[in-house]
Amino acid sequence: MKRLLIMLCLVAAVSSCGVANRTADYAYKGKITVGICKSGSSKETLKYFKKCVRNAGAKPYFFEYYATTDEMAKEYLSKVDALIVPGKSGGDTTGRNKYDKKVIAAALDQGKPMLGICLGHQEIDSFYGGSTGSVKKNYPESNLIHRNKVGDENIGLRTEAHAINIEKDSRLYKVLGQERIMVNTSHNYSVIKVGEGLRVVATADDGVVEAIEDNSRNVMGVQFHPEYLYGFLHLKQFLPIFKNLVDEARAVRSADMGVK
Amino acid sequence: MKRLVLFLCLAAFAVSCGVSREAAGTVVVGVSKTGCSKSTLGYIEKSLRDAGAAVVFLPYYALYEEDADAYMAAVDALLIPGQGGKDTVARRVCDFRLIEAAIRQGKPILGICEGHQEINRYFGGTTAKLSVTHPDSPVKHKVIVDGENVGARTRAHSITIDKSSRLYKILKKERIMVNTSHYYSAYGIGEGIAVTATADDGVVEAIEDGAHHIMGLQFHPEYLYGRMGVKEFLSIFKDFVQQSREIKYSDSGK
Repeated sequence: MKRLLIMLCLVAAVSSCGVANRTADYAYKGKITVGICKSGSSKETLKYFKKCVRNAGAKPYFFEYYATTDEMAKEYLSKVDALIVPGKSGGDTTGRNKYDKKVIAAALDQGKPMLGICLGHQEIDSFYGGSTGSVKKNYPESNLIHRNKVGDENIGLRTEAHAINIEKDSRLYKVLGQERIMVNTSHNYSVIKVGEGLRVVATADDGVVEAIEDNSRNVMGVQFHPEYLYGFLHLKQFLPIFKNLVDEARAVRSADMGVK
Repeated sequence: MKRLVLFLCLAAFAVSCGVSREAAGTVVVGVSKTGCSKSTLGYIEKSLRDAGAAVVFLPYYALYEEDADAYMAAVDALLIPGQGGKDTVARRVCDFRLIEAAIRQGKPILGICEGHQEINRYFGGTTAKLSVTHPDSPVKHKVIVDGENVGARTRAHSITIDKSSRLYKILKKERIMVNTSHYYSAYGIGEGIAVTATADDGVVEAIEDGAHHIMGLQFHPEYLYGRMGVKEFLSIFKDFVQQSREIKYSDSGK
């Protein structure tokens, strides 16, 4: 019996050394938490976010409701390491345009990385002083379909609908590893005027803005839906978008803890 | 030994059959709807439905006592919501009749916001304006952002709950953040009514009258659960419905 106990202790000691070595790369050993505005998202969308964030090695934290006041936004952001501002897909969407500004402001204020998707990407652009416009009105000659609904089924969301061209010197290019990639789509509006401090890093063949970045600040916006591309279509090349968000959050945390 | 175990299993099964039959008993909650906004009624319906009750919106004011008695006879419990829509003038008189009928028939009452204040007034209490009774309070009982009243969809301030209250048994917390949307509050407390929760500035946030199965809440659990999705607050409706169920089916058993 005694021998068995000693053996177990030795095994535990040896394996814990190994564990310490593996996590030495990260000063912050706990799980990164990614905050997601859940109001205005359908159950299906939330399911895919859970999958994307978990498979990227982090924990999702769904904000209970819209941050109707600045204090609420501050409190939500204080509980997470990164922020995802999604598109509109269901539930109570009335507060999206009004209240998402508050969480975006809080994320920037607290220096936390942010990923905007579809409406979220447009809201980030608006926050930086840009504006959105109708795709049909601004790109009347386009023969690309940016929104494709057949009956009740949002086909555009669930297929590789059109290609986008990515700038080689962007974070998105580093993350996806491709200059031209097929994405899904579901939008009637797009970024027309780019906010100050942001740059366009991807466009569709008709010129519609498909992704923006603020390189000085860990902020990225994508017009397409990586959560459906990975979550629903199981296209592995899009998981790195979420992994990148998590890695950036981890880097911010390590910096906060004074470790280089 | 084996036979004893088998017998005990069968006995447990038989008992649980009886228990589940009672727990499955239908409860119909009557909601005094006139004077409420459509959205509020929607959240109330969702909260009560998810708590396992059937919902009946009392068609119009119970203008006469007979109406009130008839309405209450058709339901198992009474819910009096807040005011926010049109046609609110006759609320006070008519809701009093409903409260009276509910008490006469021994049925539970849940009052929310204005409903909570009406219950207090029914028992002889008074309502007073917050700007008069609690001027310069740091607690925000009304939250207006960019000209919009968002208090009902904000975790606006904390309340402290009395440990000996039913509300504490339901929420299992002494301190919890609630939403808010009121310019008035229950100030003079009615006879037989106990204050079971207050905000940090002393404003009354919840009352109970255990003897008559009555609870009043100044905040809006139907928005906290129905609109904001905070599951904790569904427990308030579940308890209300379960209480109604126990009263209804224990009577029939006698």
